[in-house]
Amino acid sequence: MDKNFEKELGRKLNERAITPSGNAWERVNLQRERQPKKNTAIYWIAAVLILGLGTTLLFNAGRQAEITHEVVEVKKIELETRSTKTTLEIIEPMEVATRPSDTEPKMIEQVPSTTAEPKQGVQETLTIASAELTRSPADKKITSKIPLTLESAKKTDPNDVDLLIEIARKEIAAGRGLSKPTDANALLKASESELDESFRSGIIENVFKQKRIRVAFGNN
Amino acid sequence: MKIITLYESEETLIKKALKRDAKAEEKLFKRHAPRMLSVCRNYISDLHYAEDVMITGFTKVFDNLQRFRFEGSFEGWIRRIMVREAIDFLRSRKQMQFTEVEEAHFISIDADPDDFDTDALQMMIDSLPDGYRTVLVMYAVEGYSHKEIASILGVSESTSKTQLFKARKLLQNQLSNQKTTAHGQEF
Repeated sequence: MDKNFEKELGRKLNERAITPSGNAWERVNLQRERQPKKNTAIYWIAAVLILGLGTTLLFNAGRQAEITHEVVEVKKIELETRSTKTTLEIIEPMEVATRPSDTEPKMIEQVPSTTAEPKQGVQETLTIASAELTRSPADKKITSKIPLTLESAKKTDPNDVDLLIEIARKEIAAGRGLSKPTDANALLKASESELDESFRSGIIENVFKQKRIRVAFGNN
Repeated sequence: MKIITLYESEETLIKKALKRDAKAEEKLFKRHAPRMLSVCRNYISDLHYAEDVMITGFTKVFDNLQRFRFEGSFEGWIRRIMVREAIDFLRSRKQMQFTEVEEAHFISIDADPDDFDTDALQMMIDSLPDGYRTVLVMYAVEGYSHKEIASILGVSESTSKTQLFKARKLLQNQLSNQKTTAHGQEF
């Protein structure tokens, strides 16, 4: 009997309908309008935070990359050839390279600078970013570069040579030049080879003129 | 001149409401609101609170409409939302208390609901404590099993059964009192 009672109770209550108040639908709309505003505000705040964080990280990453690029160790190796002396600068990264391109050895050729210290023969400066000079790929690159630079040295402008000589004179005057003893005869031979016959004949003529004058006015 | 309003199927209205069609949403609301207010009223004795709960329930219905998969009836889906909303309301007001009974005896109610109108039945149900009333309505009106009731209310199955036993006992007393009063009035 009670089962029937509950069944009937359920039927009666389920059939019932209560008319809601007139503004019920407006209230539903009002409640719905309130909720999305809260949600969008949260999303906006989250988006701004993420954007700010991302920008900061990118900025810091950029700065770190710059720093790692700047910190290098420079080694100078002088390569002596028959007539020239070449200085090689090897740049070794101090930190572990983060980018794959950093691990590759790089060769940067610099234009021979006029302010470089003048030495005997032609001087060239090569900058090589490499861990070791003895590495075969780097070696090949260096050896292939040297003849090119020597050829370019032959085409050096005479003005540059004059400038180098001027700098060398100043260095010698300051007492910094000629650290090694020089062979006078070798220098004389080198200078004689550069002189042409007209210069030599001019000197002989002058010597003869002086002798004639002495003969004319007497030995006093 | 007659204006014929074309009947739109519930599925059409739901699909339109999914595209944020305000008119379709309003039509769905007006179609289901009276029944849903009755559902909320079964659990909440105050009609104004019941309406508040119904409005919150419909807000959730429209906000989560994309979750309706057209598998069961739309009314059944809304009804479940309303029942949970009403239970949450009672929980928030700490009105729902479940007193344990050692043994749930079977009590038969010797009465015919047709002898009472719906308002009288509602008044009897309203007089029950919230815990008893909730379990009685869930079991007798909504058709939930004790297992489902226990899961939704977060109580044990035996608690659900004892609450129903107590609700029946109290209803029995009330119905017999009503009958006695009615017979006394006849003489």
